[in-house]
Amino acid sequence: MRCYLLMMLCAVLASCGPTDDPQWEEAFDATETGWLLSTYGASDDNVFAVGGEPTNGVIMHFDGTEWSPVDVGMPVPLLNWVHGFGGDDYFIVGNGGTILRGDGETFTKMDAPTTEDLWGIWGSSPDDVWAVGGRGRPMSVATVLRFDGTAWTAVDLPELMRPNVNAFFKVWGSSADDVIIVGQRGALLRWDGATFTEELIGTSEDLIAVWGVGPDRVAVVGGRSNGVVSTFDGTEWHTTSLSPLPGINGVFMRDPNTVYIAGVEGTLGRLDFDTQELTDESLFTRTDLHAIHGAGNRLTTVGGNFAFVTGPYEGIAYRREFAADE
Amino acid sequence: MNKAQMNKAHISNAQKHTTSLLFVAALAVFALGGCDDEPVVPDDIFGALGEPLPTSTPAQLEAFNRGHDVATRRFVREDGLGPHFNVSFCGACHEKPVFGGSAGRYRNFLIVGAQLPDGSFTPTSVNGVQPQFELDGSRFPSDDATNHAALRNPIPFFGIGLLAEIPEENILANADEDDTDGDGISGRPNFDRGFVGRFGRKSQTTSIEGFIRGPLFNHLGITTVPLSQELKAALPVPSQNAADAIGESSSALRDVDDDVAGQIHAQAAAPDEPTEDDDGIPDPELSEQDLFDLVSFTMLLAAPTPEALTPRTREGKQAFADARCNACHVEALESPRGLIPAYSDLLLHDMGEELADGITMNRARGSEFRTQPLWGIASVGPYLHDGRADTLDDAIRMHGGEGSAARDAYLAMSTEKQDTLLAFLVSLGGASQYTEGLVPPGEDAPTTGYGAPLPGTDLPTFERTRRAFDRDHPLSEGLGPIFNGDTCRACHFEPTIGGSGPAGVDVIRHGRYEGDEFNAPDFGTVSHRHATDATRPPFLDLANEIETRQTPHLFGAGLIDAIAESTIVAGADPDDEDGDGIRGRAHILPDGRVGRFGWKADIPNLSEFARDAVSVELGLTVPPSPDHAFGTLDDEDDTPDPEIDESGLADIVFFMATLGAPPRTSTNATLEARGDEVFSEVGCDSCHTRELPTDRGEPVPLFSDLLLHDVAPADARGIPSFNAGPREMRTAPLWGLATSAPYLHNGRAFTIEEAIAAHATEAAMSRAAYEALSAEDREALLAFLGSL
Repeated sequence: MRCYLLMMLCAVLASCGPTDDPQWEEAFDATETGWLLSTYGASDDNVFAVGGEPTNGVIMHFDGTEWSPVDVGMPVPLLNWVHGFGGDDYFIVGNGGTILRGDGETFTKMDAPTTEDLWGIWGSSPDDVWAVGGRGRPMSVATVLRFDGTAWTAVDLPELMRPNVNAFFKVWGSSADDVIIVGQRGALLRWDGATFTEELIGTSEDLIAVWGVGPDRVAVVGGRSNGVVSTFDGTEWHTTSLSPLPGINGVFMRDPNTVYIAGVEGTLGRLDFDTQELTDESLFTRTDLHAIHGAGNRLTTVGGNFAFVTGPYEGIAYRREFAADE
Repeated sequence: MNKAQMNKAHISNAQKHTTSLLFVAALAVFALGGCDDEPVVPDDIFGALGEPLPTSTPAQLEAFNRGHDVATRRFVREDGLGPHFNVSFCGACHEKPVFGGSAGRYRNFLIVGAQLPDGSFTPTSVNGVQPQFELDGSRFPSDDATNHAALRNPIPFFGIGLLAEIPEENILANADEDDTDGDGISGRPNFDRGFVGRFGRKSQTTSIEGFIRGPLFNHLGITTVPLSQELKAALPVPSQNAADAIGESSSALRDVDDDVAGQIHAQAAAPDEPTEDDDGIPDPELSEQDLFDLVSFTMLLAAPTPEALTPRTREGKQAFADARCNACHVEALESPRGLIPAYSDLLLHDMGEELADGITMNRARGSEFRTQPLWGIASVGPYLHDGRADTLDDAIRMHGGEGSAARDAYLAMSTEKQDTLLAFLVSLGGASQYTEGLVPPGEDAPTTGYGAPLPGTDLPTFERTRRAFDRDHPLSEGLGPIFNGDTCRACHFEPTIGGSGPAGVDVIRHGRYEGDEFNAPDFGTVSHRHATDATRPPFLDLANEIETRQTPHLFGAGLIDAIAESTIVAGADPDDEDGDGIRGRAHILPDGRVGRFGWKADIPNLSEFARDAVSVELGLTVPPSPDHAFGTLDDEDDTPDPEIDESGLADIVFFMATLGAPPRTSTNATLEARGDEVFSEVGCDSCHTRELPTDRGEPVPLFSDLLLHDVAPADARGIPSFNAGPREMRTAPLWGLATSAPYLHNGRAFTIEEAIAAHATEAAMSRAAYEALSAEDREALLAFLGSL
């Protein structure tokens, strides 16, 4: 009797999972690569992933056939985010104020007016690029830098109503005069081309990533212990706790209705932009995912075993094709 | 699917398909319910409060004992204490009735944050905790952004490892978020990183390691890094992450044959952020091994042993059920060991405006709290999240929200039936260890050494008054409205009751200088640590002079009390007529009496000392007395004045007056003898007079002249008291020096060497002479001082 019921129980457990899982496949074995924190693709056959270990940054490149490391050509610390323009102009930021620029094959280090860790980078064009960071500790400074095509400068920010914000984590914009920066304790700043304005969106969870497809289709995700999503429809923010989903680290959009998310312990999924209803695609792993990005016909997500800060530092990289209806 | 994947599947379902899981859980309960081997309460999970689980392995017992030592270690600056702190050791907040438990109200703390217009709540100060102290002797400032605070009383840890083992679905099985059964009781799980929360007042934490690392930093300023995979896996309840990482997932607490049970036998992974500070001590400040031992100690604390039901407590248990207390305080949750009778569903319940504190934590809203486990409840008062309830009866009466119906049912019972219910609660373990303070029941005072009475003291009276000195004063007796301690022992407990106090119980005095003129705040120079409500007591924002005052010990205080005023005055040399550079001034108080107690010698005798201390430190009002000038006669709380009577004061005075002098010790008589000589050669005894006679002629080897001296650095200002100038301090008695760290009036010296090095002005020559000593003579002097 007991065995029978336990079999029933197992059967029910098995049926609890997603019913139409997209086919995520391991992009490459990143166990020895180090953590992977960001991925950016210009096309199906030109995708980058960056990360490494605290004192040793790593750049990986996919050429359509295989993933291989890029010789950075200099010692760099952990690399946290990558953004590109046109398939041959990439900016990468990392710990200790590291900023790299290169064509995908070779990179040079740029002078940066900060030693804070930099977590996010995005630009409307190669001569209008933003980078953000800060270590999130009381003695660190929430940092915003801007590149005008010639040099990076630190940007003065307004005093925030939200207290104790010591880090910004990501930046994204729909245009040069509509840029959104998200950060610690629910911080969100919007640049209108002339000034920054703080927006309160109803959460004090860390906001870790932002992406969108236009000024009225923006998604912000975050949370450390419990996931949170906020969508901006052009008028207001709609903020929802995704609990019991754990923290969400990465977000990507390529159409107005679908928000792709990646987070703690293999959390993967699609949110309907308007309803914020989740379609679960989570991986069977306890490794954390940190970023998700789509290029060409494929989505890529990367992460690492961030729970183990003293190593060994293991990465993870998965890919899947967009479905026909995506 | 490998084991790790199965684990993930399990958690994934717990995270994302709660509804399905509830069905699964119900099915499991049905399945198990139909089994022949009904789960039972195992008899090998219980022990006396503070004892390790009976199932602990020898290696675990070693870790438990080492962890106990870490929990009771007094951290100092060199260990990384600070730069912010509330207490200097873990056990400070978990001492009642033994280490691992809760604490009196003098260990309450404030949760602070900013409520913004969008409804979000952002923790402020140090991760949402308000520290009291900074290492430099300042009061840790309040965060300007703080606009909301809530009070917290420390939470007991007994049986916590057993709670960690309870499978998530067994917690979720009791959830009824939308009250679908219509019983007025909902019950929501909290979540942390996808795991079901189970620790903390709001079930906000899933990991015992995280539950320890957070407070280590927030309350002590001790930094840590997360345990390595290997050590996480070696914990008594290994973390799920680590278990996966090493390909194992069975519990080290006990072998579990069943694979499925093995997988659900682990705790959630700990938060992964290292903690860092800028106090000059390299991070991490606690070694990984010490952290492992501390976590192991916590995990291995046994569940309180319940008493066998008697007809009376069985009736009380029925009353407990009749009132539906067990709708939230469910009798037991099943773990791989069997039924764990914590009397909690570990879920969040809305306790209404009656208990709401406005603090959100993960999913928990401002009025939601975890059902407090009731095992061992008899000995861990005060009760409720903020310690507002003196008694279990009070706590029940203060229930609101979802607890209203049970409360009302209790109120509707006859007094006799209520008593049986309370008796049942008391029977849930730990009652035999109940104490009104910290002195264990039945423990006699030592007859030798620290804490022993003076020869000839009436022992029964000494025992009784020792307990009065130790006893926590509840709110109902008038504690507060602002206070530093809720008992005399709160500040005087090192190395035993009546002793000194570590850094975490320093008293903060402050005021403002306008030029050379010192202005005390209207409410006095003391800025208290605690209020009976969720506020930080008054502090003069414009203060530009802040001094912490370390708690001196009281050993031999009765002998000091017996020294004639004339003897003290006779030693004075206020105009340095002998030209030795040492003055020494008796503190003649405004009423003409000679002060002798306190850092400023501003209290004339023990009787006045008791009146002053209970008033200023405890907030208890005292009866008017024509023979006394000290003490507060009325305050603003609701308790009728006086809040302590002459008898109560007399007990405290008796204990202090009969508390024996610090025992001399000797580890190297030859070295100490040389140190004795050096003590004079250096000139220490110019102020630290070896002995003064009592009015009966008995020598009192206190190593103080009880006079005021200026030994402050040139740039010091200080705070005046009566006729004692701001820079003047009473020569600190040196007897008992070895056990009364930290040193100096502000406690800024953690070693005797640091204390000597801080001497200046009148003591400059002696300090210089000390600095010129050979290494051997310094060693001898320190050995001598340590022997006092």
